[in-house]
Amino acid sequence: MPRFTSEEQLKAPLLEWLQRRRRFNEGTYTLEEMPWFNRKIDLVTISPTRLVTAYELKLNSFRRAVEQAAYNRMAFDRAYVVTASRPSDKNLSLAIEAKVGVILVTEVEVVELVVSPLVRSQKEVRRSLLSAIRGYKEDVSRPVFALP
Amino acid sequence: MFQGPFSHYLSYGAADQETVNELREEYEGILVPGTVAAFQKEGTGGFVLALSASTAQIPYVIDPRSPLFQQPLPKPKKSHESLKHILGLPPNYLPNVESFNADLVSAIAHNWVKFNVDYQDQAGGKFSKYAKRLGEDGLDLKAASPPHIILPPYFVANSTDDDWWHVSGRIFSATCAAASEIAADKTCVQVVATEQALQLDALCESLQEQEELVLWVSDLNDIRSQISDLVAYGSAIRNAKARGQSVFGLYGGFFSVLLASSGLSGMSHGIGYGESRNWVELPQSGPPPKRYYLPSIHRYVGQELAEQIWQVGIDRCTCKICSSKSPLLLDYHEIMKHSVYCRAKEVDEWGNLPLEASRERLKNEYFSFTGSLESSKMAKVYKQQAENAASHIPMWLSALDGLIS
Repeated sequence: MPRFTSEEQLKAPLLEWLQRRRRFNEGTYTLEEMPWFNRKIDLVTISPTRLVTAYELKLNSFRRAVEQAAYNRMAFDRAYVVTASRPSDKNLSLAIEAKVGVILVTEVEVVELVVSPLVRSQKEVRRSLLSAIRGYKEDVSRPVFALP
Repeated sequence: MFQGPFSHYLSYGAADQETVNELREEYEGILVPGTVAAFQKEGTGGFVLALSASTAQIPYVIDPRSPLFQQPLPKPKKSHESLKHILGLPPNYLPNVESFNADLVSAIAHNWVKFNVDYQDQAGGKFSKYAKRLGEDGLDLKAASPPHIILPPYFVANSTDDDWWHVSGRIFSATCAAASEIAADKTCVQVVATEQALQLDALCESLQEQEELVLWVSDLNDIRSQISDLVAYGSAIRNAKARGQSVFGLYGGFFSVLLASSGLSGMSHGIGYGESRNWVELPQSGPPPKRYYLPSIHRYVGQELAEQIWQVGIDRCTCKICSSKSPLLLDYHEIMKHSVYCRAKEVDEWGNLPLEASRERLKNEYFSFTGSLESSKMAKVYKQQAENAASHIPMWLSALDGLIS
């Protein structure tokens, strides 16, 4: 039984894992609850090379998370669902087909079940995304931290 | 309203100026919420009056939005207070039928008629500013018109025995009397507002001496409502037509366009939203979310889903806005303009169709859409959402069956 009782609790193990796996470089920024197309993305990371990744955190409702992550896919370089429950093979296939990555966070480990392929969005969409990120970074009230 | 085969009105909000201005050929009139008219008097007034004075001579009507005051307002907005002041509701006003004694009814009626009739004078302060924005030289405030008709304040009622129905009736009569003294050429049209579609017919029938009515079934939403409610709405409209009554929908979406052949003489809707409204939620307001109107299924969907559908070559809109951009790339105003173009096209292409022809065409569109989805290379996760987005159409077909039989 997963120890987690809220999606917020997935963040710390996820961020530690991303750091250990060197998914963060010096100067990588993270944003939380970033508004994008009438919704809020749980976690966004932006590398110094402007590689942008979206993470949707869900304890359950994996399918719903894949739907949201699939939409993130259209603008972000990579898009992930981060879940505390191992998805079924059928749901994993859904994620793979949508080019959405899946990261499983348990009490003992963090495992990347599916890698999100790097896909560049249309120029105008990307411009719009980077502009939204800039605007949110300037405006954000929650902590934004640059990792050493 | 009641001007032609089908009067297509847009409900105006402050964020809509660009769309309302540029798309003057795509609608017939403007419905101004009473809260907006009261609070943004000179801003909204200047704009609406400039449109009225322009070559397009766009008529406008002010919706008193009085059901706002049929409930407690624990945190009234400034616009609510402004409207309350214009209506003449006392500071210690309580939202119950007992408050509406003869004096208050008379005061409300008089105040509302004055507000409508004097709108040019009271709201014309910024006329010049907005006249310039329209890009027409030499617009004159004197050429602007007062509201096309007066909609007397009204309340939501669920039967002819409902006390609020009687209050609405008294206010209507008092408003007509005030109008005949102050502005004899002004027509007053009663608003029939109810929570229950099944009661609409009886309410309209009780007013059969009135040739024109404006209708509002609270929360009657094309996508979410029960088939029986849509059928009841259509039946009420058809029966009204049979009685010689011309009826206009205060809110409506595509299904209302189909009801033109049943006798609906027109409807109003917000831009990008506002095809239905729950009266209890009137105190809430704000700009609509950015959603894309998908022409082939006649409803709003998220921009991202619209983009996925567009990417596989389904439903590529050819309006002036979309001919150069995919849904995801449209900014706020472009999305709003696209929605107005779509609705105008629907009114043009569907408004004259008999119900049987509408049903046939809608059925064919639905199978074409779902068939194209099925055979497309769209990822399953998007495909299922697109299929869900079209799931209201079989419901509409059933509702049309209910009206045809």
